[in-house]
Amino acid sequence: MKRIAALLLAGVMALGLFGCGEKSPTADAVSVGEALTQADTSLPEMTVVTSKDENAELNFTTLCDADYGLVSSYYYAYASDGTAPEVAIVTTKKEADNAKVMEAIVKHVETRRGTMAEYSPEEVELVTNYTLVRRGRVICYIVSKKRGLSETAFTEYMDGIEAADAK
Amino acid sequence: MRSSFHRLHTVLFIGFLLLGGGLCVLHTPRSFSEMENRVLTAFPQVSVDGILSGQVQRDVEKAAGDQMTGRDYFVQLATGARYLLGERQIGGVYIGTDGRYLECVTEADISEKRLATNIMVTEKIAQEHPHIRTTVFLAPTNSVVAAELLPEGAYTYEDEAVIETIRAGISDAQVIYEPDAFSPEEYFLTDHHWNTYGALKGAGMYLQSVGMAAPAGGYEVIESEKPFFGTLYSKAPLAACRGEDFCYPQVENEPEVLIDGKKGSLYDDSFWDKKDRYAAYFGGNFGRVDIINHASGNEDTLIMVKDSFANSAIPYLYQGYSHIIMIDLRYYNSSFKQLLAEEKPGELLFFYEMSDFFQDENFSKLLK
Repeated sequence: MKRIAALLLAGVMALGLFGCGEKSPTADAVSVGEALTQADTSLPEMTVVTSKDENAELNFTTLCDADYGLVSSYYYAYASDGTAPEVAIVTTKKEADNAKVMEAIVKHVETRRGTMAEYSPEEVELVTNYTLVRRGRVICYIVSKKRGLSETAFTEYMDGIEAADAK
Repeated sequence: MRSSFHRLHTVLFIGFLLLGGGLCVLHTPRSFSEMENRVLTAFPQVSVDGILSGQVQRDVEKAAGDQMTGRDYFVQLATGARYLLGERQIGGVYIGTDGRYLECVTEADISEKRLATNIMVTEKIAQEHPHIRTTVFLAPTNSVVAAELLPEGAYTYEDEAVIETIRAGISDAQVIYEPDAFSPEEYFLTDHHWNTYGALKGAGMYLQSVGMAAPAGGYEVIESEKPFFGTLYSKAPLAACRGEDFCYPQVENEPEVLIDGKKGSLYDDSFWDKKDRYAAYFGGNFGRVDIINHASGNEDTLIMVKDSFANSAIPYLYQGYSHIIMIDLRYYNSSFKQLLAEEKPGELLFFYEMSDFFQDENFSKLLK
């Protein structure tokens, strides 16, 4: 009897462990990106490329050189006049791959900062104060004068998704 | 005796702090450091919200460093101290054995994926437009040209391996890369660009490759009065550096220039006495620059996809063409395919310094 009870308890604990796993919210990068760029009124005219475009994989190289196989969807908006503002949302296929994509984005920032330092020093601070955060499989990268607006929009959007998932 | 010494010590110490702090607050704030080529942080507006969030404290700390009286002198002093201690890689640049500044580009700066992408896009465009004579001209990095002047222990990327990869991947375009043809004297001492003599040689190489005569040289040059300190100097300003001459070739029959569709000029005199003197070519870098030469006998249009090295080569190239269109992918966002269809160029030239070619993130824009 004790043995059976012990086995049952062990089984319940094992199931409990599965339940304790981190929730990994995800979202379509294009929808999140559109919400962010609409929220940030300081952004100049932006050129947008997304995972829905014809040359999606090639266009992704403008943002970073991470392996496109890790990416589920992406949205990337950059200032049409070549100035610093940028907004990117990347949804990875596995949360474990976030670090690789984020590392590649940091490299992109370094390259941009180097270019700005030589040709547009007034833009360096904007690039330096970038935001790079993640929620579950969704990575958010923002360079903007009012990046707080985009950050808030991102948080609210992801909160909404988590709340919907919880239901 | 001992007590009065301590008193004097205290007074001097407090006096020094007050004087330093007072000067820092009282002197006219600067918004830009010409020497460091960067924007300086100004003292912030004080607000309760700002103090509570900690932003004011952070900004004051930054501003105190940036607005410090004699900042330029102290920055030079710090750089000089590091140099005297034997450091030859300061602020991400090498100080060469003859005192020149050399770019520190290493293998770590090469992304194989990005290089492969840029090669693939170039080849694809060349393949899709067999009627356009396509060339890739790569100017060598200054630290490759002046490899013998690199300080002890310094290293740079293997340009031979990179060019081998480029040549292997591009078969439908001509690739020109001749680092041995250039000498360190054809590059600035304090900037990563080539000087007007390097530009003359580069332009000549291209013109000869398409069957035209290289510019003969012997141009009258216009020299600026103030010495030039380039962008590499700004990363490690040494007081001992005296700067260098900056000159432009005086051209006859100046061409008509359109910068993003608006009237511009080959030289922008407003940069003549500014720190960023290289921007005197066209006033900097723009998405699209049209150079129209009505006096040219050649009806061909040349489209150049380029970095800033091309700007100083234009005075030597434009005589050979009725129309040159320079495209800078960092700022150009229109359809390149449409541009090719509309302008029907006879020649397409990718004109880059080699490390810019393998680091450019914008080649995908060419397939729009």
